Amino acid sequence: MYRVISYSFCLLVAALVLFAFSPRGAEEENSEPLNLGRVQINDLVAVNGRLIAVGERGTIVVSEDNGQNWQVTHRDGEIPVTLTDITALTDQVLLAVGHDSVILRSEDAGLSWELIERDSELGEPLLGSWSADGQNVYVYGSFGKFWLSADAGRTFEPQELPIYGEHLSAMAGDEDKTRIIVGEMGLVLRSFDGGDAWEKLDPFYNGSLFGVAHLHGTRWVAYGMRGHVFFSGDDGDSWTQVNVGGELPLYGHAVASSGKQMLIVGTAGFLVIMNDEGELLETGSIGGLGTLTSAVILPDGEIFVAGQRGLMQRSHNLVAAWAK
Amino acid sequence: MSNKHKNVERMVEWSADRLIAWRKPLLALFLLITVAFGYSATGIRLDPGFNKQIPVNHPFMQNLLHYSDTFSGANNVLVSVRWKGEGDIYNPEFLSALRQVTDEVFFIPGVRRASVSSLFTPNTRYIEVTEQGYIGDVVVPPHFNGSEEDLQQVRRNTERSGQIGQLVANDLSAAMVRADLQEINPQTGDKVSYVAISRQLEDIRKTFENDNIGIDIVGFSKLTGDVVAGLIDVMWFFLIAFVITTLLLWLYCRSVKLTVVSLLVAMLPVVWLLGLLRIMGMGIDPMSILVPFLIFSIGVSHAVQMTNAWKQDVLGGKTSMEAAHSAFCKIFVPGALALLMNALGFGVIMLIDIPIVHELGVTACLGVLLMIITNKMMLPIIISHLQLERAAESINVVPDGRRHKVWWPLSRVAEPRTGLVVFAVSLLLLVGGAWKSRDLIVGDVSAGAPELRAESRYNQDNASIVERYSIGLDLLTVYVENQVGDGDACLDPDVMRAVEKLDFHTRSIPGVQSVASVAGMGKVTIAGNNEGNPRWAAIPGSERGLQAGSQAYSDEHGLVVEGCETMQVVVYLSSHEGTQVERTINRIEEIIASIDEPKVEFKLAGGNVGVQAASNEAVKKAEVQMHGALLASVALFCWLTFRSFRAVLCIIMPLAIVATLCNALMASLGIGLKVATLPVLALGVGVGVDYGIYIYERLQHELSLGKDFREAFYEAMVQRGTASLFTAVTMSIGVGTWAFAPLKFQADMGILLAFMFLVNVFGAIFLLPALAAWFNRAKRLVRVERVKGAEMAVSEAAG
Repeated sequence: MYRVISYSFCLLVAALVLFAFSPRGAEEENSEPLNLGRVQINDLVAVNGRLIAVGERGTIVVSEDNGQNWQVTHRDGEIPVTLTDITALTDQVLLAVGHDSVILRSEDAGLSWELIERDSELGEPLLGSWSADGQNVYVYGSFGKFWLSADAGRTFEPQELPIYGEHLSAMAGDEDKTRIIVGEMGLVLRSFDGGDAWEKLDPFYNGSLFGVAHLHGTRWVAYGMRGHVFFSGDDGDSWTQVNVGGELPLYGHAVASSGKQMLIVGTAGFLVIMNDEGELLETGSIGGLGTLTSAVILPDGEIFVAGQRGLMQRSHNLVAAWAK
Repeated sequence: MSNKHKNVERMVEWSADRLIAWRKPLLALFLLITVAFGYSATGIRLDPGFNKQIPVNHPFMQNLLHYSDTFSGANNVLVSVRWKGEGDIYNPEFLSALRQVTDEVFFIPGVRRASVSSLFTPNTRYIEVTEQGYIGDVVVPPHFNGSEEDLQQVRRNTERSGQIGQLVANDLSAAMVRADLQEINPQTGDKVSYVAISRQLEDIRKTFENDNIGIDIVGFSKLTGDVVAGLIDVMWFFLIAFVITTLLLWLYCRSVKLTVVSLLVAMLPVVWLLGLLRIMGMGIDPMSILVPFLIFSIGVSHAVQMTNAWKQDVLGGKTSMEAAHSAFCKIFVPGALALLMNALGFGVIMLIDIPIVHELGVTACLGVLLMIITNKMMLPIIISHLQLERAAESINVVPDGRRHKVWWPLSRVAEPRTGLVVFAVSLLLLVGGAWKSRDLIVGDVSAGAPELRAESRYNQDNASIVERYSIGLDLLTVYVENQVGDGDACLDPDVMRAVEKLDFHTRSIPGVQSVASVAGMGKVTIAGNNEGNPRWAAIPGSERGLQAGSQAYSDEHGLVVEGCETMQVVVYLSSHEGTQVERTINRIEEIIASIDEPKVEFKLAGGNVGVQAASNEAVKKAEVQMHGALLASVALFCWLTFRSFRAVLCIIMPLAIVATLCNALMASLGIGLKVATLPVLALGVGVGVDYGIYIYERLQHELSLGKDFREAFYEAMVQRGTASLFTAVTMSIGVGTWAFAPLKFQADMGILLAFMFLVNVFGAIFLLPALAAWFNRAKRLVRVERVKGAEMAVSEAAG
C-alpha cells in the first residue's frame, strides 16, 4: 500500500516531467501562403460582380465580394511567368497575357486556366489584349507584336502594322469601328474599319504612351510618361495636353460606365480624375500600394486600385467627390 | 563500506591536522596568491566578442562563416530623423536637421564615409525615364534653399529615387542617415571603439531632438554602447546585493567578526577567478559577468556552513583552533562534494554548442572549484585565529527540552496524512506547471535587442524604425550557389527564376518586411530600361531579355559576386522573436524544397536571424541533453553517496518538479529559452541539489540512530534546516536584485535563479521528507546502527 502510493507518485511525476520536456512543436498555421499585399498586380478587371487580377509570376486572383476576400486561381507552380493584362471577352471567357508571350484562357470566369501560347525562346512580353465582340481578339505587346484571334482567343495569327517594331502598350475602341493603339515613343495608330487597316497618326508627344481610353462618341484620352495626359474630341485627329500638375508617370485607368468621367493612376499612388471635356477634376494620391498599375470602378461607384504592392486598398473619400 | 568511510574520515582528520599545523605558512601562501591574482584581476577586460555567440558547428553557421568573406557583414548604424510636427517631412526645418545630422554622422571617426547615405548624400540619386531616356541626379538639388518650389522638387525626386521605405519612411514621417562602420579607423590605425561611437551618436541625439524632431538610432555599435552602459549599472547591483547579504549575515550570526570573515572569504574566489581568467587570456563576457556574483553568493552560503559549525563547537567549549579543526572535519566532505556537484552542474552547460556558453561554463566551474581551496581550507585557518563575540553566543540556539518554533510543526510533513497533502499539492503544481511549460518559447520572446529591455530607448528606437521603414536590423541571408559554369549566371533564366521564386514566396511570410535579391533588382532595372513601365518588371525567359537588367547584376549592390556564381538573398524581418524565426526558417526551407532547379543550390542562413535560428536550434537540442545529463549525474552521485535507489528518488523528484515549474515560470513571464537562460536552469539545479543532499544526509544519520521518522527529520532540520533556509534566502535576494538590472538577460537570469534557489529549498523541506516518510513506512530506509556515535557508518537498506 505505502509502496504503491509512493512509487506511483514518483511515476506520475516522471510522466508529467517527461511530458513537460518533450519537444514543443510550433503549431502550423494554415493561412493562404501568398500575401497579396506583397504581390505586384499588373491588371485588374471587373466582370459580372467579380474582380479578377493578374500579376507577378503568373498569379491570378478572383474576388466575389468586391475585394474583401481573394481566391488564388493560378499560381507560379507551372507557369512562373509574370502576367501583364487581363481582358474579359464575355462574362465567362477571360484572356490573360504576359511575359514570354504567355496567353492563358479561362472559360469559367477565371477559376481555371488553360495555356494557349508560350514562347520561352524570345522571352518577350505581351502587354495587353482587346476585343470588341468577344470573338475577334487582339493581343499586342513588345517589339510590335500584334496578333489576332478569330475564335475567341483559342488560336492567334500575327497581323501587319505600319510600324518598326515599337512596343505597343494599349488599345481601345469605340462601339463602332474606330480603334486606337498607343505605344513607345509617342506611337499612335488608328483604324476606322475595326482593325483591318491602320494609319500612324502624326506624333503629338515624343515620350511613351502607356494607356488609351475611349470615353464616348469621338472623345478619347491617352496618357503616359511624366504626367502626360492628352485629350482628343475628334477621334484622334487632334490632341490637347491636360495639365495634371504632376510629373509622375501614369499606367492604368478606369472609365465610368457613363463615359463622363475617367480616372488615371500611376507612380507613387498618383491619381488623376478628369471629365469628358478633357478637364481636370481632381488629382490626389493613394498611399501604401506603391506604383499603381490599374483601377476599376465598383458598382457602388467606389474605386478599387491595384499596383506594385497588391490590391488591398480602396479609396472612399475620393469616390464621393467624384461620383457626385 | 564502513572501512572505506573510516578511511575517508582518517584522511580528512589528517588533512585537518596538517592544515592547522601549517596554518601560518599556508595563510601567507594564500595571501600571496590572493595579492597576485588580485593584481592580475585589476587588468581584467570586458570582452564582448559577439562572434562568440555563434554556434559554430551548426550547418547554418558553417555557411555563414564560409561566406562571411564574400559578403561583408552589415555592421551599420541607422539614424532616423523623425518629424513630430504637422504634415510630412518635406519642410525646411526637417530637411535642415536631416542635412546637419548627415554631416555629423559623416564626421564620426570610424564611419566609412563613402557609405554614408541619406537624401543629402551624392550617392542617393533618382532615376527618371523621360522622353529622351534616362535622367539621373541627386535627390536634393545643390541650390536647395528650402523654398516651396525646392521642397516640391525634393518630394518628387524622392518618390522617383525608390528610397521610400529605405531612406525615407513609408508614411513620409521620417528619413534616415545610414552608414557602415569600419573595424579599423584608417586615420589613426586604431581599432574603432563602439562605445565611443555610441557616445557620439548620443550627442547627435541630444543636439537635434526638440519638439518637432525626434532621433531614433539603432545599430550594432549603439547597442554595444548601451549594453556596456548597462553593465556599469550592474556594478551597483553587486553593491546592493553585497549590502543586503551583509545585513542578513549579521542578523543571522550577530557577530561582526563572522560577518566580515564570511564576506571576505566569499570575495576571495571572485578575486582569484578574475585573476586567473586574465592569466588565461580570457576576458569577462557580458553574459558571464554574473558568474562572479553567483560565485560570491555560493561562497557566502558555504562560509555560513563552516562558521556555523565552528561557532557551535566554540559554544560547546572548544578553543578557536580546535573548533576550526573539527569544523573542517565535519564540513569538508559534504561541502567539497556539494561544490563538486555545482561544478558538475556548470560543466553540463558546456553541452550547449556555443562558445559564449562554454566560456560561461568554464568560468563558473573554475570559480566553484577555487572555492574548495578558499572556503574549505583558507576559511578554517582564518577562523582558527578568531575569538567569538559574546553577542553572538545566544543566537540560533534551541534551549534543551524545548522544540524549535518552526521546525517542529514543519516536521509534521513526515506524517502520512500531511504527506499525502504535500503529494497532492506537488502534483497540482506539477500538472499546472507542465501544462503551462508547453507555452515556453525557444528564442527571444519580444522584438528588439534581446540584451535590453523592451522599454529601453534602443528598443523603442528599433520599434519606431521597423514600423516606419521596410528595412531594419533583423535580417536573414540565404546564400545561393549555381552551377552555370561559363557565362554569367545572372543571364540564365532558370537561375534567375529560381531566385525570383524564393524572393516572391519569402515576401509573403508573415513578419517579413521586404526581400532584397538580384532577381528583384533585375526586375526593377529591366522595367527601367523599358520606359519605366512596371508591367516590364519581370524575369523574362530569355538571356536577351535578362540583359536589359545588367546594371543590377553588379557586385557593388552586395547581392552577387562578379559573374553571379554566388548570390545572396537578404530577408528583412520585423523581429527576431523565437516563433517568428522558426516560422520563417521552416517556411523558407519549404520554399527551397519546392524549387526544382538543379542548377541552383540554396544555403541557409546568415544574418543575425540566421545566427538566432542556429542558436535556438542548438539550445533546443541542448535542453533535453542538459537536463538528462544533469539529472543522471545527480542521480549517480546520490546513489554513490547514499547507496539507496529511494534516496535518489527523494532528491531527484523535487528537483524535477522545480525544473518544470521554472519552465512554466519562464512561459508565464515571457522569458524565452535561449543562450542566456538555459544555463540558469543548470545552475539552479546544480545549486539546488545541495539542500536535498544536506538534509537527506542528516536524516539518514538520525534514522540510523534509531529515531522515529518525524524525530529524525526534526533533528535534521534543527541542524541543517536553518542554515539551508538562510542560504536560500540570502542567495535569492542577492540574485533577485538583478531583476531590476537594465540589461534584459541579466534580469531574466536573476529572476530565474532566485526562483530556483528558493523553490528548491521548499522542495527539500516539504516534498523530500514526505516522500521519504512514505518510503520508510513501506520498508525502513536505513538499518539502525548498533554502534552509537559512528556517524558515517550508515549502511544501506535495499531500496
